[in-house]
Amino acid sequence: MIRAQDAAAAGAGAGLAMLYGPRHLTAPVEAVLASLALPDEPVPPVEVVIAHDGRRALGRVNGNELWSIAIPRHRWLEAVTGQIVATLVTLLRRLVFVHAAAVEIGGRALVLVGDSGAGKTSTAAALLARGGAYLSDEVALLDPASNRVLPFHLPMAIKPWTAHAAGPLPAGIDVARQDAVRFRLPDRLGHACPLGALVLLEAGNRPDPAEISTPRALLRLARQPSSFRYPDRMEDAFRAWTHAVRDVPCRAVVSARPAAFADRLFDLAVR
Amino acid sequence: VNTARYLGTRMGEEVILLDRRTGRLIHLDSQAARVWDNCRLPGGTPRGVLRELERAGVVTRVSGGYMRPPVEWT
Repeated sequence: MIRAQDAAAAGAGAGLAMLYGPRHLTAPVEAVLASLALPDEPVPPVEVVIAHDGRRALGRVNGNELWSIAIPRHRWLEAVTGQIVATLVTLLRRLVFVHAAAVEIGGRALVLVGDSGAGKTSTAAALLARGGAYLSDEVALLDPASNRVLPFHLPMAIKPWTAHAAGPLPAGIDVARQDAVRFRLPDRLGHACPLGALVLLEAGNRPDPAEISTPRALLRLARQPSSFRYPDRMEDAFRAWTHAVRDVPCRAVVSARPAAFADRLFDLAVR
Repeated sequence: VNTARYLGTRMGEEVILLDRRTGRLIHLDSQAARVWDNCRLPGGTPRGVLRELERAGVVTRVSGGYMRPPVEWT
Protein backbone atom coordinates (compact mmCIF):
# COMPACT_ATOMS: atom_id res chain seq x y z
CA MET A 1 0.00 0.00 0.00
CA ILE A 2 1.46 3.34 -1.00
CA ARG A 3 0.11 6.46 0.63
CA ALA A 4 0.88 9.92 -0.66
CA GLN A 5 0.17 11.68 2.60
CA ASP A 6 3.01 9.97 4.45
CA ALA A 7 5.61 12.45 3.38
CA ALA A 8 5.84 15.95 2.07
CA ALA A 9 6.33 16.27 -1.64
CA ALA A 10 9.71 17.16 -3.03
CA GLY A 11 9.79 18.92 -6.38
CA ALA A 12 12.31 17.83 -8.96
CA GLY A 13 13.38 18.85 -12.41
CA ALA A 14 11.86 22.33 -12.63
CA GLY A 15 8.48 21.06 -11.46
CA LEU A 16 8.43 18.11 -13.86
CA ALA A 17 8.02 15.59 -11.04
CA MET A 18 6.60 15.70 -7.53
CA LEU A 19 8.06 13.03 -5.29
CA TYR A 20 6.45 11.53 -2.20
CA GLY A 21 7.98 8.99 0.13
CA PRO A 22 10.84 8.49 2.56
CA ARG A 23 13.40 11.22 2.19
CA HIS A 24 16.35 8.84 1.82
CA LEU A 25 14.63 7.47 -1.30
CA THR A 26 13.20 10.64 -2.81
CA ALA A 27 16.39 12.70 -2.29
CA PRO A 28 18.56 10.81 -4.80
CA VAL A 29 15.70 10.78 -7.33
CA GLU A 30 15.33 14.51 -6.84
CA ALA A 31 19.08 15.00 -7.29
CA VAL A 32 19.11 13.06 -10.57
CA LEU A 33 16.11 14.94 -11.98
CA ALA A 34 17.17 18.39 -10.72
CA SER A 35 18.93 19.46 -13.92
CA LEU A 36 16.08 18.44 -16.19
CA ALA A 37 13.94 20.90 -18.11
CA LEU A 38 11.66 20.71 -21.12
CA PRO A 39 12.14 23.98 -22.97
CA ASP A 40 8.96 25.58 -24.30
CA GLU A 41 6.85 22.51 -23.66
CA PRO A 42 4.75 22.64 -20.53
CA VAL A 43 3.73 19.20 -19.31
CA PRO A 44 1.72 18.31 -16.22
CA PRO A 45 3.98 17.16 -13.36
CA VAL A 46 4.39 13.45 -12.79
CA GLU A 47 3.51 12.60 -9.19
CA VAL A 48 5.60 9.72 -7.92
CA VAL A 49 4.93 7.95 -4.66
CA ILE A 50 7.60 5.63 -3.30
CA ALA A 51 6.51 3.14 -0.64
CA HIS A 52 8.15 3.35 2.77
CA ASP A 53 9.75 -0.05 2.37
CA GLY A 54 11.19 1.07 -0.97
CA ARG A 55 9.69 -1.88 -2.79
CA ARG A 56 7.10 -0.19 -4.96
CA ALA A 57 6.50 3.11 -6.69
CA LEU A 58 3.51 4.47 -8.50
CA GLY A 59 3.19 7.31 -10.96
CA ARG A 60 0.23 9.64 -11.47
CA VAL A 61 -0.53 12.45 -13.85
CA ASN A 62 -3.46 14.76 -13.24
CA GLY A 63 -4.60 12.42 -10.48
CA ASN A 64 -4.73 9.38 -12.78
CA GLU A 65 -2.51 6.47 -11.86
CA LEU A 66 -0.44 5.56 -14.92
CA TRP A 67 1.89 2.93 -13.54
CA SER A 68 2.89 0.97 -10.50
CA ILE A 69 6.22 -0.81 -10.49
CA ALA A 70 8.18 -3.12 -8.25
CA ILE A 71 11.44 -1.36 -7.48
CA PRO A 72 14.42 -3.62 -8.08
CA ARG A 73 17.02 -3.88 -5.33
CA HIS A 74 19.83 -3.57 -7.83
CA ARG A 75 20.15 -0.20 -9.62
CA TRP A 76 16.81 0.99 -8.27
CA LEU A 77 17.62 4.66 -8.87
CA GLU A 78 18.03 4.11 -12.59
CA ALA A 79 14.78 2.16 -12.67
CA VAL A 80 12.76 4.86 -10.91
CA THR A 81 14.24 7.85 -12.74
CA GLY A 82 13.95 5.96 -16.04
CA GLN A 83 10.26 5.34 -15.38
CA ILE A 84 9.69 9.02 -14.61
CA VAL A 85 11.53 10.14 -17.74
CA ALA A 86 9.63 7.63 -19.86
CA THR A 87 6.39 9.07 -18.50
CA LEU A 88 7.43 12.68 -19.10
CA VAL A 89 8.29 12.15 -22.76
CA THR A 90 4.95 10.50 -23.46
CA LEU A 91 3.27 13.69 -22.26
CA LEU A 92 4.96 15.79 -24.92
CA ARG A 93 2.57 17.33 -27.40
CA ARG A 94 4.88 19.50 -29.47
CA LEU A 95 8.35 17.98 -29.27
CA VAL A 96 9.17 14.49 -30.50
CA PHE A 97 11.59 12.10 -28.83
CA VAL A 98 13.64 9.01 -29.39
CA HIS A 99 15.59 6.82 -26.99
CA ALA A 100 19.10 7.99 -27.86
CA ALA A 101 22.15 9.85 -26.63
CA ALA A 102 23.16 13.18 -28.15
CA VAL A 103 26.31 15.28 -28.11
CA GLU A 104 26.80 18.74 -29.54
CA ILE A 105 29.92 18.96 -31.67
CA GLY A 106 30.81 22.10 -33.58
CA GLY A 107 27.31 23.51 -33.18
CA ARG A 108 25.58 20.37 -34.48
CA ALA A 109 24.06 17.41 -32.72
CA LEU A 110 25.40 13.92 -33.20
CA VAL A 111 22.63 11.54 -32.18
CA LEU A 112 23.50 7.99 -31.12
CA VAL A 113 20.65 5.51 -31.53
CA GLY A 114 20.84 2.02 -30.10
CA ASP A 115 19.26 -0.50 -27.80
CA SER A 116 20.02 -0.44 -24.10
CA GLY A 117 23.53 -1.78 -23.64
CA ALA A 118 24.59 -0.90 -27.18
CA GLY A 119 27.16 1.61 -25.93
CA LYS A 120 25.36 4.96 -26.20
CA THR A 121 26.63 6.27 -22.87
CA SER A 122 30.23 5.17 -23.36
CA THR A 123 30.32 6.56 -26.89
CA ALA A 124 28.78 9.85 -25.75
CA ALA A 125 31.31 10.03 -22.89
CA ALA A 126 34.18 9.45 -25.32
CA LEU A 127 32.86 12.22 -27.59
CA LEU A 128 32.54 14.57 -24.60
CA ALA A 129 36.13 13.81 -23.61
CA ARG A 130 37.14 14.96 -27.11
CA GLY A 131 35.48 18.34 -26.71
CA GLY A 132 31.81 17.72 -27.34
CA ALA A 133 29.10 19.27 -25.18
CA TYR A 134 26.49 17.16 -23.46
CA LEU A 135 22.93 17.15 -24.81
CA SER A 136 21.47 13.88 -23.56
CA ASP A 137 22.15 10.33 -22.46
CA GLU A 138 18.71 8.76 -22.72
CA VAL A 139 16.34 10.87 -24.75
CA ALA A 140 17.01 12.92 -27.87
CA LEU A 141 14.37 15.63 -28.17
CA LEU A 142 13.64 17.18 -31.54
CA ASP A 143 11.76 20.44 -31.91
CA PRO A 144 9.78 20.27 -35.18
CA ALA A 145 9.27 24.03 -35.22
CA SER A 146 12.95 24.97 -35.15
CA ASN A 147 14.30 21.68 -36.56
CA ARG A 148 16.75 21.52 -33.65
CA VAL A 149 17.82 18.85 -31.23
CA LEU A 150 17.18 20.13 -27.71
CA PRO A 151 19.18 19.49 -24.56
CA PHE A 152 17.76 16.98 -22.11
CA HIS A 153 20.21 17.24 -19.27
CA LEU A 154 19.49 14.14 -17.28
CA PRO A 155 22.82 13.12 -15.69
CA MET A 156 24.65 10.31 -17.46
CA ALA A 157 24.26 6.95 -15.72
CA ILE A 158 27.85 5.75 -15.79
CA LYS A 159 28.30 2.07 -15.01
CA PRO A 160 31.71 0.57 -14.32
CA TRP A 161 31.86 -1.01 -17.76
CA THR A 162 30.82 2.30 -19.33
CA ALA A 163 33.79 3.98 -17.70
CA HIS A 164 36.04 1.15 -18.85
CA ALA A 165 34.84 1.41 -22.46
CA ALA A 166 34.81 5.19 -22.66
CA GLY A 167 38.30 5.90 -21.36
CA PRO A 168 38.71 9.17 -19.43
CA LEU A 169 35.29 10.36 -18.36
CA PRO A 170 34.11 13.90 -19.03
CA ALA A 171 34.60 16.36 -16.17
CA GLY A 172 31.43 16.94 -14.23
CA ILE A 173 29.56 16.61 -10.96
CA ASP A 174 28.35 13.27 -9.64
CA VAL A 175 24.90 14.22 -8.39
CA ALA A 176 24.16 10.74 -7.02
CA ARG A 177 25.68 7.29 -6.70
CA GLN A 178 23.89 4.00 -6.33
CA ASP A 179 25.46 0.56 -6.33
CA ALA A 180 28.34 1.04 -8.77
CA VAL A 181 26.50 3.56 -10.96
CA ARG A 182 27.41 7.25 -10.87
CA PHE A 183 24.99 9.85 -12.14
CA ARG A 184 27.25 12.47 -13.62
CA LEU A 185 26.20 15.80 -15.04
CA PRO A 186 29.03 16.88 -17.36
CA ASP A 187 30.43 20.39 -16.96
CA ARG A 188 30.12 21.21 -20.65
CA LEU A 189 26.45 21.38 -21.45
CA GLY A 190 25.22 21.73 -25.00
CA HIS A 191 22.51 23.93 -26.44
CA ALA A 192 19.74 23.46 -28.98
CA CYS A 193 21.30 22.84 -32.39
CA PRO A 194 20.49 21.27 -35.75
CA LEU A 195 21.10 17.59 -36.32
CA GLY A 196 24.59 16.99 -37.71
CA ALA A 197 24.83 13.20 -37.90
CA LEU A 198 22.80 10.14 -37.03
CA VAL A 199 24.74 7.12 -35.81
CA LEU A 200 23.22 3.70 -35.22
CA LEU A 201 24.96 1.45 -32.72
CA GLU A 202 24.54 -2.21 -33.58
CA ALA A 203 25.78 -5.45 -32.09
CA GLY A 204 28.44 -7.25 -34.11
CA ASN A 205 31.91 -6.67 -35.34
CA ARG A 206 32.79 -4.55 -38.35
CA PRO A 207 36.02 -2.65 -38.75
CA ASP A 208 34.54 0.62 -40.02
CA PRO A 209 31.44 2.72 -39.54
CA ALA A 210 29.25 1.91 -42.53
CA GLU A 211 27.38 4.55 -44.49
CA ILE A 212 23.68 3.79 -44.56
CA SER A 213 20.86 5.45 -46.40
CA THR A 214 18.72 7.96 -44.57
CA PRO A 215 15.49 5.96 -44.95
CA ARG A 216 17.19 2.86 -43.58
CA ALA A 217 18.47 4.88 -40.61
CA LEU A 218 14.99 6.24 -39.99
CA LEU A 219 13.57 2.74 -40.05
CA ARG A 220 16.02 1.77 -37.32
CA LEU A 221 15.36 4.92 -35.31
CA ALA A 222 11.62 4.32 -35.38
CA ARG A 223 12.09 0.88 -33.81
CA GLN A 224 13.39 2.52 -30.63
CA PRO A 225 11.05 3.76 -27.92
CA SER A 226 10.03 7.01 -29.52
CA SER A 227 7.15 9.24 -30.55
CA PHE A 228 6.70 6.85 -33.49
CA ARG A 229 5.22 4.36 -31.03
CA TYR A 230 2.24 6.57 -30.18
CA PRO A 231 -0.60 6.72 -32.71
CA ASP A 232 -1.32 10.37 -31.97
CA ARG A 233 2.35 11.36 -32.40
CA MET A 234 3.68 9.11 -35.15
CA GLU A 235 2.85 11.51 -37.95
CA ASP A 236 4.55 14.39 -36.14
CA ALA A 237 7.54 12.13 -35.56
CA PHE A 238 7.67 11.15 -39.22
CA ARG A 239 7.51 14.74 -40.45
CA ALA A 240 10.01 16.00 -37.88
CA TRP A 241 12.65 13.31 -38.32
CA THR A 242 12.42 13.11 -42.11
CA HIS A 243 12.95 16.86 -42.18
CA ALA A 244 15.81 16.80 -39.67
CA VAL A 245 17.81 13.95 -41.21
CA ARG A 246 17.59 15.12 -44.81
CA ASP A 247 21.15 15.66 -46.10
CA VAL A 248 22.60 14.51 -42.78
CA PRO A 249 25.20 11.70 -42.81
CA CYS A 250 23.99 8.42 -41.32
CA ARG A 251 26.37 5.71 -40.17
CA ALA A 252 26.09 2.31 -38.54
CA VAL A 253 28.75 1.36 -36.02
CA VAL A 254 28.66 -2.40 -35.65
CA SER A 255 30.80 -3.16 -32.65
CA ALA A 256 30.74 -4.33 -29.06
CA ARG A 257 32.86 -1.26 -28.24
CA PRO A 258 31.50 1.64 -30.29
CA ALA A 259 33.37 4.16 -28.11
CA ALA A 260 36.54 3.00 -29.87
CA PHE A 261 35.20 4.81 -32.97
CA ALA A 262 34.83 8.14 -31.17
CA ASP A 263 37.57 9.88 -33.15
CA ARG A 264 35.94 9.04 -36.46
CA LEU A 265 32.47 9.95 -35.23
CA PHE A 266 33.79 13.27 -33.96
CA ASP A 267 35.29 13.98 -37.41
CA LEU A 268 31.99 13.00 -39.03
CA ALA A 269 30.14 15.57 -36.95
CA VAL A 270 32.54 18.43 -37.73
CA ARG A 271 32.93 17.58 -41.42
CA VAL B 1 -9.80 16.24 -45.12
CA ASN B 2 -6.73 14.15 -45.64
CA THR B 3 -7.58 10.61 -46.57
CA ALA B 4 -4.31 9.26 -47.93
CA ARG B 5 -3.34 6.19 -45.98
CA TYR B 6 0.37 6.79 -46.59
CA LEU B 7 2.54 9.74 -45.73
CA GLY B 8 5.69 9.71 -47.83
CA THR B 9 9.03 11.36 -48.30
CA ARG B 10 11.50 10.98 -51.12
CA MET B 11 15.12 10.96 -50.11
CA GLY B 12 17.31 10.89 -53.18
CA GLU B 13 16.25 7.83 -55.17
CA GLU B 14 14.70 6.18 -52.14
CA VAL B 15 11.30 6.54 -50.58
CA ILE B 16 10.08 6.14 -47.04
CA LEU B 17 6.39 5.79 -46.27
CA LEU B 18 4.45 5.92 -43.03
CA ASP B 19 1.38 3.73 -43.01
CA ARG B 20 -1.00 5.84 -41.00
CA ARG B 21 -3.25 2.89 -40.33
CA THR B 22 -0.65 0.60 -38.78
CA GLY B 23 2.10 3.04 -37.78
CA ARG B 24 4.56 1.01 -39.85
CA LEU B 25 7.42 2.61 -41.77
CA ILE B 26 8.06 1.18 -45.21
CA HIS B 27 11.37 1.74 -46.94
CA LEU B 28 11.63 1.49 -50.71
CA ASP B 29 15.22 1.29 -51.88
CA SER B 30 16.10 2.86 -55.21
CA GLN B 31 15.15 -0.22 -57.24
CA ALA B 32 11.87 -0.73 -55.39
CA ALA B 33 11.07 2.98 -55.65
CA ARG B 34 11.63 2.94 -59.42
CA VAL B 35 9.41 -0.09 -59.83
CA TRP B 36 6.81 1.43 -57.54
CA ASP B 37 6.82 4.70 -59.49
CA ASN B 38 6.02 2.75 -62.68
CA CYS B 39 3.92 0.03 -61.20
CA ARG B 40 1.13 0.47 -63.71
CA LEU B 41 3.59 -0.70 -66.32
CA PRO B 42 4.91 -3.99 -65.02
CA GLY B 43 6.28 -5.10 -68.37
CA GLY B 44 10.03 -5.27 -68.05
CA THR B 45 10.07 -4.58 -64.31
CA PRO B 46 11.44 -7.19 -61.95
CA ARG B 47 8.46 -9.27 -60.91
CA GLY B 48 10.17 -10.18 -57.67
CA VAL B 49 10.31 -6.55 -56.62
CA LEU B 50 6.65 -6.08 -57.44
CA ARG B 51 5.79 -9.10 -55.37
CA GLU B 52 7.84 -7.66 -52.51
CA LEU B 53 5.96 -4.39 -52.82
CA GLU B 54 2.70 -6.29 -52.85
CA ARG B 55 3.73 -8.14 -49.72
CA ALA B 56 4.63 -4.81 -48.11
CA GLY B 57 1.12 -3.63 -48.91
CA VAL B 58 2.13 -0.64 -51.01
CA VAL B 59 0.92 -1.94 -54.36
CA THR B 60 -2.24 -3.79 -55.23
CA ARG B 61 -2.61 -6.19 -58.10
CA VAL B 62 -5.27 -5.01 -60.52
CA SER B 63 -6.36 -6.14 -63.94
CA GLY B 64 -3.46 -5.56 -66.29
CA GLY B 65 -0.87 -4.62 -63.71
CA TYR B 66 -0.37 -3.08 -60.30
CA MET B 67 -1.62 0.07 -58.67
CA ARG B 68 0.00 2.08 -55.93
CA PRO B 69 -2.04 3.85 -53.26
CA PRO B 70 -2.39 7.60 -52.98
CA VAL B 71 0.37 9.14 -50.90
CA GLU B 72 0.55 12.50 -49.19
CA TRP B 73 4.08 13.75 -49.76
CA THR B 74 5.94 15.79 -47.20
